[in-house]
Amino acid sequence: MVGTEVVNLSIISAKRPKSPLGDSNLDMALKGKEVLIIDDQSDIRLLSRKILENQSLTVSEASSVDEAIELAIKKPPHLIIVDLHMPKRNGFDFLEQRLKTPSLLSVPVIVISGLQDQKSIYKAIQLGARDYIVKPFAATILIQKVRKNLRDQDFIGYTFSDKASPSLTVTVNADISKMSETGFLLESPMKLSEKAKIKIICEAFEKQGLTQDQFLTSEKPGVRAISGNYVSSVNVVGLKKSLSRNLKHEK
Amino acid sequence: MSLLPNQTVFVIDDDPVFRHLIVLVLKKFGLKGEAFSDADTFFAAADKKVPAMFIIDLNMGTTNSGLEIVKTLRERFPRELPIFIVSATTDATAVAHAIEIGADDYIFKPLDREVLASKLMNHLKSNELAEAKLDFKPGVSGEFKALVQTEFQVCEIDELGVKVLSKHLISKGTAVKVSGTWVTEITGRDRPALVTVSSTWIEPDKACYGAYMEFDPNDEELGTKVRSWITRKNLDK
Repeated sequence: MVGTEVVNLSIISAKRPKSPLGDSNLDMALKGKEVLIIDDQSDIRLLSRKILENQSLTVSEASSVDEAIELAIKKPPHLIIVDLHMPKRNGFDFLEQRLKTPSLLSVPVIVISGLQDQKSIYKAIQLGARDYIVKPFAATILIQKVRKNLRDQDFIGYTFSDKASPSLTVTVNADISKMSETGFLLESPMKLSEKAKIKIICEAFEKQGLTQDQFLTSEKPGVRAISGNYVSSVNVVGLKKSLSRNLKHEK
Repeated sequence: MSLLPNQTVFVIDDDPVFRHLIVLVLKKFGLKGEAFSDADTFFAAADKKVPAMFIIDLNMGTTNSGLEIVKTLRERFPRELPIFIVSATTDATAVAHAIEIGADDYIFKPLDREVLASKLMNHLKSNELAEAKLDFKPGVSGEFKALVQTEFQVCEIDELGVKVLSKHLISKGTAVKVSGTWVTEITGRDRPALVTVSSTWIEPDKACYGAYMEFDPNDEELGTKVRSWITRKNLDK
């Protein structure tokens, strides 16, 4: 990650989200809290500093893991933000060192990672990182993640009781392949559980008159395919013989 | 109870007590357990003979070693071959990750024989059922684009995103659309909101998956609406 970071400079001035209750004392919760930024690139450090200082936070910087460890031991910050990809010792080295340093164990760490690098993110979380930000990032996401992890009183949430928990319809893209007279294979980023009713929106099915209460996943949960998606076998319930034939010859 | 008599199950675990125990339990179910203590002998054996399923300990001394084994097995063996992982309940995110990368099911330590029995039944028997029932004809290979919709339960919302529970697992990093009356109530929009799955885990008590889905950080209007919805709800309490 050298030299070519895309950083959206227009967002330095991002404002803290407006409180519906008014803006009085909004900055108090963060005031005086210290964030340590570890990144070998000075422009990223400067940008993050500007964004966070705008939120009344105190910011310190380190350009290497060794410098960061020394700084953090001398005066543990309230939060650490570390770039995973640095020359010489990187963010993973920092996380490993932190695990061996008792005074830093209670300090939450947010890691910054390259785009779509799920493997690194997972590894960082295994090593104790609490959260992550993917580059290039917007100021709002940096601010929200920092506030969330500093347990900012002003970062608000709501927990539903089991009974009042609303349901959410989740839609993902899928490919349908390998049709048979009784069902088909469906590939999607969702590992569908066994014997579950699902809805499938597909033009070819609509043309054939299939309705949404007819799709039931098989006795086995989806399995991972080479593509990284999951393949589930779906049965079509209540198929008439003629329709079954049509389905098979569709396309 | 007898499942599929004399089928071999390969087990890998660095704990000798667990290895001994699981082989005994598998024997009770009519299955032949072969236990290994390290990855090298395990893979050497798997090269010679393909078992009916694998049971992998997730915590084999070093971090991620169980995950590496799952990943390698998924690349080497057909996807129909079941892989179970064994783990402590405290490893909820690691279990979900193992399933994301290709494991089929999980069992927790200490071993619950009944849970193991029902899971073995599901995976070893249903293979036969699925194959008998679905006769996929070659030549019917056309692909259709489709959308899949399922219902998730929301348990928490904060300014960054929502925490949901479901029987289904969505890979981390997936962008999904969420909709429903509750979403409309918050956004005031009659269209889905875009979220990205940022973390996944297992809920051991509820036997389902958990996921945290983050809102689009560039949608400032949505951010403001979520914030005022939460504030109103907290005031109502």
